[in-house]
Amino acid sequence: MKAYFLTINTLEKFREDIHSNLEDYKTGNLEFVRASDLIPVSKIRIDDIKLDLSENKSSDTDFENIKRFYLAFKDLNDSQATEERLWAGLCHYQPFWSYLTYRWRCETEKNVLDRYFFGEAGRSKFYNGLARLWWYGRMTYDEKSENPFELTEYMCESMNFRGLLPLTLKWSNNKKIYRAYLRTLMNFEKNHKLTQEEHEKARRILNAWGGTILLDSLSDKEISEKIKNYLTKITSQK
Amino acid sequence: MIISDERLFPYPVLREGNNNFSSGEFDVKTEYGHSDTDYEFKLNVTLTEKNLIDLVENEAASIVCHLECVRTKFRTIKKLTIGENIFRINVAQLDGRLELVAIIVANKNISEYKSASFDADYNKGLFKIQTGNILGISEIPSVIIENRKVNNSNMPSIFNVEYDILLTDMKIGLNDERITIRLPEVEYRIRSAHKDNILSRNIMNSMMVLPTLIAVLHELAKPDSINNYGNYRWFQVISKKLKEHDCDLQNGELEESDIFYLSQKLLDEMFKYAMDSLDYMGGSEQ
Repeated sequence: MKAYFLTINTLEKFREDIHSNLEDYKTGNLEFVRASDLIPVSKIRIDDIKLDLSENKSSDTDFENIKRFYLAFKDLNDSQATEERLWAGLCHYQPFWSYLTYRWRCETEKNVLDRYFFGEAGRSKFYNGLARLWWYGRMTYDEKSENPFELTEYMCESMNFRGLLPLTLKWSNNKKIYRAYLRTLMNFEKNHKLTQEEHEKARRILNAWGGTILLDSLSDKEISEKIKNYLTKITSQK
Repeated sequence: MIISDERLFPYPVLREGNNNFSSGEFDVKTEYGHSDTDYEFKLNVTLTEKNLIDLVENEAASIVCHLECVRTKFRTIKKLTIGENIFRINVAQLDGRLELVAIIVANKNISEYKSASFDADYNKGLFKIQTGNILGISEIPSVIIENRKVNNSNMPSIFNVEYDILLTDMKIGLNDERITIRLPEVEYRIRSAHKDNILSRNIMNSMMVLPTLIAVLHELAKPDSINNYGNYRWFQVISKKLKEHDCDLQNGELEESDIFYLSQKLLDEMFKYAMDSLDYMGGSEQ
């Protein structure tokens, strides 16, 4: 299948018209989009994709849809994946707008901006309805692993604490550090479930260590060992 | 990664200006160039502090370049040696601002870290160093990445018009992907009613975008503008357009430039289109 960009003028127009188009976004019937608003992108190859819309609780499809979407868009590079015209284009194009309507109820202009557009540089990756599927996949897919989506599955069980919140911290920009962090938590939780507070402490301690230690210079094993020792310490204090 | 001057370490760190060492220098000079596919960096490392040289030679410490691009979540290190180093980064991994810093990092625990060059305040002390501790810092200016996306963006696309019921005058906001022009509600409504007419739009653009751009360029002429705004799409587009007019933001050339003139040049014929539109609409008296 083809990927579609919004033209620059259309992107600006759609942004400005969110208020008048709000009902269409609410019902998922984006009839204001015309074929001429979208430009096919020949350089990005995408496999055919059908997203899972089967669960009553739509967030339960996140893991499956991250897998499907990331694999279909695996040829996208990181620079292309920060392009608003691409994400906003895809969100205004079928079959994807049906997925967005299924996954979120966009009742306000801010909801629409967050899910259909791609605004502020940091969090948009994990807010735009489709960009988040790709970026969560990008950050957790580990092709060296026997089960490349093992970390994705673990993250999806508690998306906020294991995904969104650590991924907004700067140390997570190094995928090696984030994956080591997630893998250590995953292995630790096989024997000891962590509370929300312990998740928060684990996130924060990496920030604190980063004050004097160049985390990027440590091996996966060293990072993992440090986190594990810390988790053992805080959980044994209960 | 930007390591602020304010960051304090519990042991001496060799960094220009912090006075932790009485002598010795760690300095990295950088040159870079790029093609459609790669950025090539040439880094020349100078290290003159004897103890740190010994640690590096004995592999107890390493010199690395830390690279971080927040937009693409790209963050890695490249190992350096004293003298000249060359490495390449694929542009597909980059967008926006690339932050660079050179760091001397401990490769192992050092139980008695000492140096004859420590400043007297450290009283010839011994310090416990852990693996990964930062021992030296040399700042490198950030690089604004140029890519196809920037080339494909036009000037009007970097402005966003909103309203704010609390306003009585036009205001601008710079902390987003687009430059936000905020209008009082009544003016916004008038503008919205006319924005689909190309002639009215030309006139309104000239009324709002030109003065906004002048204000923005004055802000960009300030020394910290790359750190403050370098990651925003509008910054990259303006930076690229300024270069086309022989003004390099990264070299601080805007400060010496004629901002009023440059603003008009950056907006191509916007003022002329506005006047032509006015002429066309108004049936002017000759």
